[in-house]
Amino acid sequence: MSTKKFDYESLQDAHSIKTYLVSLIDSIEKGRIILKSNGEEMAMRVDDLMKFSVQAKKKDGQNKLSIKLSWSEIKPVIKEERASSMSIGS
Amino acid sequence: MLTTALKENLSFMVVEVARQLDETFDFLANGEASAFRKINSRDDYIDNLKTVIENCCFTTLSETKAITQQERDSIQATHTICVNLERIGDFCVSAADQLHYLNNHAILQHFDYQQIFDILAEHLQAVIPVLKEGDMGKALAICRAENQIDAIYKENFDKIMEALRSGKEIENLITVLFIFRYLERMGDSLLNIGEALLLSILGEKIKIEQFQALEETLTKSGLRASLAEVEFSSILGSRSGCRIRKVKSHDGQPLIAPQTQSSIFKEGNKEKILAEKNNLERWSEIFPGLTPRLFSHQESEETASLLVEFLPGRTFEAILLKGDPAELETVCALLHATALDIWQRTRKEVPVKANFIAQIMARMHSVLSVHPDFLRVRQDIGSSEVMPTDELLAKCRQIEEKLAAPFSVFIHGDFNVNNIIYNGAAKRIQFIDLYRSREGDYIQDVSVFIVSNFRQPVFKTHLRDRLNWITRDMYQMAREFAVEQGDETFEVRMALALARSFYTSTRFEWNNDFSHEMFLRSHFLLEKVLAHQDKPWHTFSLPTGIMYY
Repeated sequence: MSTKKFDYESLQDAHSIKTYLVSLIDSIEKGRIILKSNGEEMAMRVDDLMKFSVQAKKKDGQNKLSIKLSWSEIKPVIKEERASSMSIGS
Repeated sequence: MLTTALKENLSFMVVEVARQLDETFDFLANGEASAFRKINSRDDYIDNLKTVIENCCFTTLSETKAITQQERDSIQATHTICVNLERIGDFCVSAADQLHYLNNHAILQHFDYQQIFDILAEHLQAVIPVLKEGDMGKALAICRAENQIDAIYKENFDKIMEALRSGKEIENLITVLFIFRYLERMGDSLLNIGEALLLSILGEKIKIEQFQALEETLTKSGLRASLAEVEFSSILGSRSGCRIRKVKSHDGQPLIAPQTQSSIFKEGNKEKILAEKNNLERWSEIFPGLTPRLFSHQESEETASLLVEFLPGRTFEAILLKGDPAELETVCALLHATALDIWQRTRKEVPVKANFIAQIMARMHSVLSVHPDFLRVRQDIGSSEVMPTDELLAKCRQIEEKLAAPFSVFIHGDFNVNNIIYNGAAKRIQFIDLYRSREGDYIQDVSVFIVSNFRQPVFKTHLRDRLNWITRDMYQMAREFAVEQGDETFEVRMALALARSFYTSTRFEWNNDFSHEMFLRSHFLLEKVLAHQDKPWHTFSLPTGIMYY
């Protein structure tokens, strides 16, 4: 299976960070997050259910706040076979 | 020092190569077939000796514990000598082999090849004694023998050409030319041997041309010292492509003037050296005593050299990293006073553009060769666009066109913390490395100073605090000056200048986290400037936190 990656790191002030976050919130509301790098597009369909985690750490005066969304595009397979159709040995 | 086995084998090798030369000469003179067989079999023996010596060198290097630098130099020199001796041996075989293509043996005898063999034999004899006794004069003589061989080659070459013009004996003359070409290449190998001997004596790699430049410069400056009386300390290190050496007399007696113990010899790129010379002269007019005195200079076709006063004292860098806080404060105050004095004395009512963005672009290739990923491509995060580096630079360059400094001053041009010297005895600040001095924007010097503080690879809190307050004080001093002078675009030009220094300094920084930090800071500043483009520039506020780490 192919792996696609997008990577962006920068230094921002509060104002410009807000701009990025707002554009991500917009994308989530629209159901599709589009990330492009040098013309190469990576689209992620937003799911009804996503794992959302917030982690924070403070150590030696260094602060870190991670916001993470993760979800799977592969839906669980629901087999049509039902328990009732299975034969139970007598 | 060298192991006995190594010394013995090298002595054997010199003897064998000397014999090989003798035999080759005899063969060229007499053409006896048996002599050629001997030459061939001796070549195998010489090859074996080379392998033995090489193994000895590598084993000694890898197995000897606590090896000194001098021992390392000696082994390195021995290795270079043995490789080049073997090459001379090979050239003997190749020259002798050419005789088979000669139909008329007598024709070779019209040309003087004996002299070359004599020179090679004479200097080969000196190799082992020089290695043992470290006689610099003899080492230099070995180096210079190559010039003699080249001259003889040229003489014979011209003679062969002339003979060729007659249209007779063409094949034979070309063979003779090939023979001489091999002899000339033996001279090149002899030069490598001589330079290896210099390495073992001086403890540093030095090319004979540099040595000659130094000798001429010393002579021209009227110094009594001959090279034998001069002592070199190792290369002081320079990124500018010039080699720098400290020179003093062996007995510690002053070479130049009573108050000067030693001087600095710089040799290299002609343009840079001459720029430095002109700037030293200019500085001594503006501010006598601020920069080293110029004793003499020398030029050849491609390179130039300078002999300048060695300034006693410590660099600002050494004081900021190791000095005590009170001393550092005194030195900072002096530095500020000196900078202000220079700015006031040299201020000219001429607007001047520093072209910080063009400076980034000019160094981009070197940055990318160290950090290939330090260039942003276009990216989109949802509806937010990230501007690629080249576009960001192009736009900031346009902005900068309208942002000339309102006046010019004479700037240092490379105002790094290690180009500032504090002379404790005289209680004064002095500048070195001035080849980039010019009429410019004072912000260039301030920003280079600030980033040279920033990129000190120290991460202990108390030292970082120190660097941060030095930066803050320098910035405040410059900002106050700007306010006094009515320089309204100070902060935005400072943003561009810092962006320039952060970006271009990454090429000297291998620590990826640290250099990445500078790369990010540079982009942040450029984006800030761009975001402000529709507002008046005097309202731009530099996010000063960017200067601290």
